[in-house]
Amino acid sequence: MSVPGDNPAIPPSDPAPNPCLDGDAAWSEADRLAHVWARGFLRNKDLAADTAQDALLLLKKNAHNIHANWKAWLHRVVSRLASRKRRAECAEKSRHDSAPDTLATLPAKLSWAHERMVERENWEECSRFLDQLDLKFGLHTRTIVDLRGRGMRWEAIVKATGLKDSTCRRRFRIAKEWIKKRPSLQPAKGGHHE
Amino acid sequence: MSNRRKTYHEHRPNFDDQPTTGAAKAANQDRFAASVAEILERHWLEDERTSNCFDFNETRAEALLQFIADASEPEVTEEIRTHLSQCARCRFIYASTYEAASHTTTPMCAHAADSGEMQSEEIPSILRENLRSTGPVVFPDGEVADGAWEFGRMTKLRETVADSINAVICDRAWDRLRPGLPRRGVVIVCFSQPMHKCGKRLAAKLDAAGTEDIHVVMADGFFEPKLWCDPKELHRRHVIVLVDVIHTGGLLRRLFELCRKTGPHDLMGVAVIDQSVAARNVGHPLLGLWQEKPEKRTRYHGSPGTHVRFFDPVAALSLPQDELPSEVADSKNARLTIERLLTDIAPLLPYIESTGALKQDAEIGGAHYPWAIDLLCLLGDERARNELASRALSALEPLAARGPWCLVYHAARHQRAGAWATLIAKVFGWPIVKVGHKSCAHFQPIEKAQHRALTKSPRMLVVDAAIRTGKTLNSLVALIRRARLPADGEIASFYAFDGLFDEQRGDLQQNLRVDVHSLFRLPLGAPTEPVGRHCRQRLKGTLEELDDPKSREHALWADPVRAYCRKKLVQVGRPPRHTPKLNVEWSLRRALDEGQRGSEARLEHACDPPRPSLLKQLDMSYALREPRTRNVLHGFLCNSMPPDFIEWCAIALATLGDYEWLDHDWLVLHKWFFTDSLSSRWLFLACVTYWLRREGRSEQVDRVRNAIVTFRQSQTSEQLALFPDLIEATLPDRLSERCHALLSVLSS
Repeated sequence: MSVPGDNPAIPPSDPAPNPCLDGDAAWSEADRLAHVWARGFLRNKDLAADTAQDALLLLKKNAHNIHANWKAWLHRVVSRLASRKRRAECAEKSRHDSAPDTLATLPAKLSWAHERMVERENWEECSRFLDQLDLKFGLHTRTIVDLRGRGMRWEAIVKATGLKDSTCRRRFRIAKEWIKKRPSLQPAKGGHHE
Repeated sequence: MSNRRKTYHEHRPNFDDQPTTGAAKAANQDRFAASVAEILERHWLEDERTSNCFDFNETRAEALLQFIADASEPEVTEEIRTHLSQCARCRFIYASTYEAASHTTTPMCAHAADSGEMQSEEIPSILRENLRSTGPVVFPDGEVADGAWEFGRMTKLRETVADSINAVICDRAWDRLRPGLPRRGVVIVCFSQPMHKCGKRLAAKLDAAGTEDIHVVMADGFFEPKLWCDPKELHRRHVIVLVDVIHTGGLLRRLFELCRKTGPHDLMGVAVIDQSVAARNVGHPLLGLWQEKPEKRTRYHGSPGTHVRFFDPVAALSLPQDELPSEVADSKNARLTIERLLTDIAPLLPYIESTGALKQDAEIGGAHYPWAIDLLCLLGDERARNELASRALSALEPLAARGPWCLVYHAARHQRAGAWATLIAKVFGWPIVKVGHKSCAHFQPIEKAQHRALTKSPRMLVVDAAIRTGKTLNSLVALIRRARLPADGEIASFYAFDGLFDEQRGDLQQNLRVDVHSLFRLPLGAPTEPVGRHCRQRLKGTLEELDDPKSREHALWADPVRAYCRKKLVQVGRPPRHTPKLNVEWSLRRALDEGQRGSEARLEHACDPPRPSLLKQLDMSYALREPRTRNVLHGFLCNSMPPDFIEWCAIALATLGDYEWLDHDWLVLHKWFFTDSLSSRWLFLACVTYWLRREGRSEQVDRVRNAIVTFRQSQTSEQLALFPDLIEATLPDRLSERCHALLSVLSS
């Protein structure tokens, strides 16, 4: 198995084993890390287990060629495999959506298509506003909103931005308030029409 | 099913800030999180990967992992932050990896685990020759071995030798720990005083290597370890537990357990001598600086005739049995006693609460009490007075059956003892005799009228609000007996509160042949001489000395010392803040705890939350001379306690002539005293160095002077190494100025 862009830095003919990967302890650590990272990327237990297995297989095959930090190598491989799996999953889903319709599923599919379109427009609109955050409220505001939106602790956000905890919290609050007040994201007047 | 097309507002991410209910708030936050997370994931999947992305190659992935583990160089850290602000897909990678990293072993622990298997080196001869003792030594678990590692000997060695040993240990620890150490947030927990010195040196090394936010914490107590620090100090930090010798690993396990409760980011152990090769199961990675075979230990049966010494783990020394520090109280028994006493006094608690009779750090009759129940407050309340009267009636019934008694009290205590005697006299109709003079604390030869009154009655009942040490009773009894009490006369005593411990009371009753009766048992401890008062007198003396026109101390160097003394003497403290009324039962439990365990309990209470005011009330005559309390104060001087707390510890130790803490490592760990231009806190160091110059030995003065010079050079040479001749002339920075001021005080 190969991952796009995985070009081993050391030629495969180099027979010297990686001393850091000797022993059961190192392999069990690799196994644990692969699973933990895959779960972090995919948030799907089964998909993560598949990804971790693939990554470990690659690590086993390339163990003799990894002379640098094997954890960094493994992290890169897990990250790439995870993104490839997620893309494949999305493609599979869209293939399923565009499959020949039966009479029973057609009405529902039509409405889903509408919804997806609106959803797409909304995300683009929202992304556009998120892109303006750094310019409006200072560098790293987008990072703060993104990371906090993903549920990260303030401590991790402070580390990622280098700003004070109070600054991060204040910017997040202001940015959220600003996005909330954008006209294109305001609720339509007059209520909903059935 | 509705076929309607959804409008924007139904799809849009919800950013509402103030939902009306908790559930709605949670739902809104979830939707908001989901929206942003999905956008972020799309970026990860759809954006182009650049050469700076964390999944581009191993170098970038390694940089990310090190950044997350706080182990990246400052410039790499900045570069990663910049990239994170520019690349949404890498923000996703960071978020995913960070979440995972928070559940995994950190590089520090991983490195310790890896290097634990490394080949061991032989123990340096300087350690073996100076720190290894011979002869039978009994360890706290009751086992005896031939000789022991005694790191406490470092305090008895020549300073140069002790310093070399310290350097050898720290260099080794630094070499072994360096590859996995994070760049910030390291806490070194040191068990025992010698290890605390090593910890300070190691922390200074870390600081020199650019590690930020380093703390050194003192731990003691072998069977029930205790961390002497703010409980939040270890929270989410990288904790290294430093011990001298590990044999079975029991102590290290207990220390780990204690540290785990504070929620550290990760935890590892470092043992200078690791004898636990066969028993490594301590729960966290352990790094042994040097390894040797475990000592052969056998069970000690206390065979007579053999000259054994007993190992004191806190001092890290073996001592003959009679020199061993005795436990103030067994903690389990102490807790049971406190509960029993609280149950006894429970009926009075509502009155104590309503009258505010429980007082902390009270001055009564010229004596300072850590805790006291003011009887006057209780007697001023009618219901409390009636309760006390009815209890007095039943308590004195057996005495009253023998006939009338004459109530005697010391006239100098006319307020409380007088009021108490009046109440009893009212109940029983007994006469009252006051002895001595109310304006004189000491007994004078008694007046003729008093003498006559004493000889009239065959039964004397000495009364007072409380008994704490028994000294007053002793004097009064001697006085009454000298006043030719009838041969068949009786003396007894009666108090509202009995503050004596059982053993004290037994001795007192036996020696005086006087029964001690009381309403409530309340051993709140003897009066103390608070260190704060002593410091104030010392500061006054210093200021007078400096302001004396005949004195030669009017040079410029004396200005900081003068300024500090004036500031401290003028400063009357902030007005008391309005604090919520504390639960009286809780306060009384604390008071009894302090009464039982003395300064140890007071220091514990001073840490959480950190309050230097409690430190000022430590007993000058006992607590500060006790080795354990001094160790704790040394520990406080090196952690993240607030600056005023550190200042008070330093001043308290300096008043006792203890300047050991003032060394190069301490200065490095507290360099913010010198660099913070807005704070004048550093002035206390000027005062301490002045005292040192006046009282300290010449070698001690030289040591501190060298420490300050080295510190100044180490902190400033980086910028000006190319122009050493210009250092004096071109060092306008705050640190250099303040160091210069201290050196002037020392050199004058």
